[in-house]
Amino acid sequence: MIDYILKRILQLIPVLLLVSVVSFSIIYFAPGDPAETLCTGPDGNVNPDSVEKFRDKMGLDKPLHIQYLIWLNNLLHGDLGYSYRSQKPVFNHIKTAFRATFKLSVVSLFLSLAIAIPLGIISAIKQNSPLDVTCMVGASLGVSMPNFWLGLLLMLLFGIYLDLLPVAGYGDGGDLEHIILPAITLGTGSAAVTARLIRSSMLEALGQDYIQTARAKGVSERVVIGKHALKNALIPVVTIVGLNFGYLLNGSVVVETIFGWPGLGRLIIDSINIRDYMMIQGCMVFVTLLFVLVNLIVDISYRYIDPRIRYETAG
Amino acid sequence: MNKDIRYGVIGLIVGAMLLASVPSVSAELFGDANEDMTINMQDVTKVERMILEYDPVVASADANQDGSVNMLDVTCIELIILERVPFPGGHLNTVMIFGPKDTLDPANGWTGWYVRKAGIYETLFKYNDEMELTPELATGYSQVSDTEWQINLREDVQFHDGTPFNADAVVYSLERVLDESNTRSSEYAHIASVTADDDHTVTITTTAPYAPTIASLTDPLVSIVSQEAGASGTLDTYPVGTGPFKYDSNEFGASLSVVRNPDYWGGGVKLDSATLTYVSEGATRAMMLQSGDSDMSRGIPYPDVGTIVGDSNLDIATKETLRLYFIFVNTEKAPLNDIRVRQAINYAINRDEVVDVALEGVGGVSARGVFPSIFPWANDDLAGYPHNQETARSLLKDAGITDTNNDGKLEYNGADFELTIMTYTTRAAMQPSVEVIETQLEDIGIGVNLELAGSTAVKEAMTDGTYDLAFYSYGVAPSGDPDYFLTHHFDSTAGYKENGWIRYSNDTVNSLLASARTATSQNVRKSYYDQAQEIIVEESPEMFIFHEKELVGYNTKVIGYEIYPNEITFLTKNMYIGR
Amino acid sequence: MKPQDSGFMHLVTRLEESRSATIGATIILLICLSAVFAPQLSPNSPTKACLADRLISPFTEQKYPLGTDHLGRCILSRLLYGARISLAIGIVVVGISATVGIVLGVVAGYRGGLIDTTIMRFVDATLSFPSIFLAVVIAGLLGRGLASVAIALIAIEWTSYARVARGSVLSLKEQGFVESARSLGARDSYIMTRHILPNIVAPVIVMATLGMAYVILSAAALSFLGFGSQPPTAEWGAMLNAGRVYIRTEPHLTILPGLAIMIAVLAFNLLGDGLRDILDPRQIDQNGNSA
Repeated sequence: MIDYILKRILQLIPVLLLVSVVSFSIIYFAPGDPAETLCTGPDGNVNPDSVEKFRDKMGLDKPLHIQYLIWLNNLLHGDLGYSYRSQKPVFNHIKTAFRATFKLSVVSLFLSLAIAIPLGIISAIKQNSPLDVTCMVGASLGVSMPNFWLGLLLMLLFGIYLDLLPVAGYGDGGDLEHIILPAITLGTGSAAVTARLIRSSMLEALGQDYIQTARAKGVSERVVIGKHALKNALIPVVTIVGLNFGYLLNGSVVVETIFGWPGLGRLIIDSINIRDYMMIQGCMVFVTLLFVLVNLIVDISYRYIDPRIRYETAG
Repeated sequence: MNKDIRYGVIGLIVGAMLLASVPSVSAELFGDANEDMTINMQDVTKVERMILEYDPVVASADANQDGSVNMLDVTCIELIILERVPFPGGHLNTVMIFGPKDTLDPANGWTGWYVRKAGIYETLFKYNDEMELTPELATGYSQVSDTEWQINLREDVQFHDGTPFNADAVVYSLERVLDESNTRSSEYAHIASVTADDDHTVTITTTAPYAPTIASLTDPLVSIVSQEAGASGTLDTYPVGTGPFKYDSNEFGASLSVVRNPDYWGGGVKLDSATLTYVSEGATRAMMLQSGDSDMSRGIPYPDVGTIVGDSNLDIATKETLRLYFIFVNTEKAPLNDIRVRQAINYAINRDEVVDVALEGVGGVSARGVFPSIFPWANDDLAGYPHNQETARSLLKDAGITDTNNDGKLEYNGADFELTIMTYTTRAAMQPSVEVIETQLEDIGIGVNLELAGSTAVKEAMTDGTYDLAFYSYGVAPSGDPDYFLTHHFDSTAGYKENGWIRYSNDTVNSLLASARTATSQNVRKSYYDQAQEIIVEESPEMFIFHEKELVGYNTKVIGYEIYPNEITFLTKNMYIGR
Repeated sequence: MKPQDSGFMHLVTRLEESRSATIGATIILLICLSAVFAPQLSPNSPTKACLADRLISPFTEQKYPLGTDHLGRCILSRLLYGARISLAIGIVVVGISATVGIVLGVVAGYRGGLIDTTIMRFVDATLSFPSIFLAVVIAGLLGRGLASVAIALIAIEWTSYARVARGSVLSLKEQGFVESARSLGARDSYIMTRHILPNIVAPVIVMATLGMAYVILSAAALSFLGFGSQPPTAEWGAMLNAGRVYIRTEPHLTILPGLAIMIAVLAFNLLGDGLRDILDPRQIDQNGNSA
């Protein structure tokens, strides 16, 4: 087990190095002079002196590869640099934004699992029943629905017509009531994907020999499903949580913009708009690390739960 | 795992039920016995009548909230009037558009605007809701010489942290901005030094005669901060000013909460507390107002104005602001270097139609010049460019742009005459406005390409001179003085010329603006600016389209709100929740 | 695993086996027809503003069956022309991604060694980024325009094809298939085109179908965020974005483009899922396609 974990981590090193190069260089292929942009207020007025000073201060006048090495070195020391705009550590911004995104993701995740697991299981047990068909049609719609559209419709329905929930906002500490609509918007897509996966893995489990044997032995249907099939069907849930995490992180870009949620998704959009390169790089690296880490944990725990699985090194 | 999920589900269901069942507490203005939404001597009489059983008792008469209406309430109301007891102003939820994202320090970029709006900081001078320059933390000023301004300070003011407001604090606050490392220090390059003459007098010395010196002290960038808080390095996260409201809590990019400053020098602050929430989506801001999540929302989208006015609990406050929407013209690029072509385009634009369509008729007023008529410096004699397609066509014809091949499109030098209009989309009015202008120009045969981009890309194209027209929005007088916009945009010796934004140059305009900057008499200055504006409108290096109207949606229970046209002041001591 | 013999035509004839595939294919056919015949079907110009006829509700005036937007442009015409843009972006992105991905994947699997390692590390690195984050950064930095959106999505999409292609090459190699062909004197190019490519056709078709759904959805999302087409181009995501301020007063401006996006995405998802069921479902990597 330890060997496996070490091997996985070692494999990650070249990938992450490449990620860092991509994150760093992507920014420099893009047009736009960050110094000039950042020294210009909303109402214009660039002062050439302050632009020069800014370049100097931020090390923008050094050759590109030197800038990269400095950046990488700082990165390895846990220093993501300073935001061009606020002149504050990028990490501080990311930490604050991540807290908001994390809150939203966790609630969405629970919400989507809470919807998907029962529906997936029931659909499998009552395969081809009207209920199953309804659930699967619903799942297809959920996967295909643009989340920005869903968010607007939910806002209209629950915020205005029914007047049950606040349309947007981020209360002190992210109130439960503020989180519900964005969480539903974010969670719907992943709920749909999850329900389908649960259903198919449950169907697979129900078709296994030992289930048939148990049934033949006269074990009650409830025990068969509850004890045997469910246990096996829920193993993929671990993977699903990992998959969902990526899904939710992606969705946060749009959902946070619509609902005014001050998370990572909005941070990166804002940073792109003002070309705060340090912040964009920091976000990319942070999000990627997170993503890779979650996948690693999922892989490891999956292997731990189900030792039958053997991994091949090939991607 | 399974168990957790079950708890999660149960928790969510219970939570949702709880949320749905919370009764909405109707705010009472306790002490407002006659229910006219304010508390004054009439309420005292009213309570006395209730005690004598002449009038039926109402809940709001119970000023001290002890459950019964008696003589104690009379005393309580009198104490409220005398400002011995805080006004029961309630909590205001207001939704703003932009807010602080990374710091609360007013001397940093445009943060000062946000913390000023929250009522935390004040400046030496300010503009009132009629755009008149008035002292705030100062009591007055006198011009000692061409370059020396002596300012007298209030003596009865203390900061939220209890330290006294004095000349040292003013010197400290201004020097933070003058410091070279401040990204906006160049805007204060006219100030050579700030010195404390005594505890409550400072003298500002300018490098050259500079008429707008006092006006420049109204920018929230030069908010006066507590020196002690500044020295401890906490202004970033814990602002300490002199305003009617004290900092309470903050969530960057999301909200800022303030509470009443009980010791405010300006007298009783009516609101108990307020939360400013920052929402960049216009539709969301309107919905929050309509659903009762907010009591006030700035920047109501134009289409929602009618709905809000139609709601009996809501209303819209509106006023012209100093925000101008205009077009930068690349005056070096043929054929836009020809004054006739620029004038023709100006005539081809139907400003009223832009306002009616892009702004739904509520978001602005057509512009004739740089300044709106509400601004004392506006040249009211300007005719501007009334929509006239015939004049436009004949001017273009004179410039050699005609439909030579009768395809309905104009040609210039043998090719279709096409213009690109660049703009950015951070403000809601930008895209619809250029879309309308596009159809208007196409109506007289000019081909138009729209290019929406990030504001950075637009700025770059302007610096590089690769653009034709760029649609922009500026606050034309953030410090209340006309010099800022006119000099930056049209003085080729002092403004954006150096970074290539403007390529226009006119010696007469330059010298008029230079004279106006140093003249001391208001009337003389105005006549210089009037002449300069006349030339600028005539020569059209920029085309002025409309002045924005502020649209603030509010619940009618919010009392005492006034729009400040310079978009600087928002929360004031006079606001409160009536019912 | 035995080499798959189901070619394209074979798949088409087996479509009726799956109800969802049939429904999906029918809707896609309709969308394609409306895109191709947009000029004939559209009652009005999709881009010409008619300020006198602005903000007409759907089903109220014969001239504008689905109403007009804030500039008086016909919604129906814009939706029809919008189908062209969405399909075009989908086809371009999926086409280029699949070609690039397959070529690189086959080369990586076939050659092995350093080339394989390099290519696969790039794939791994790309997959380490949450896809929309990467797309937003690329599209945002390249500037607004459909080309930026396409480039951003290609940068993400090619990886799944590369993985599948490489996977099948490796499995063929494992079976000694390539070795024996080589020993019979077959050239590399012959082996690749005759043996390897036919083997990956089926999974690639499924991936490409699901990929269309993903690309149409993502492109609309990028447009919605303001990175997409320039006005007055009729593009669904941008239409939704522009109609957003009218959501209270003229909800059709938001609802109709959203419906169009959803129907198109749903159709490709249904077809893709159906095709996957027809083929062996376990053969296809689920990772890149479920979104």
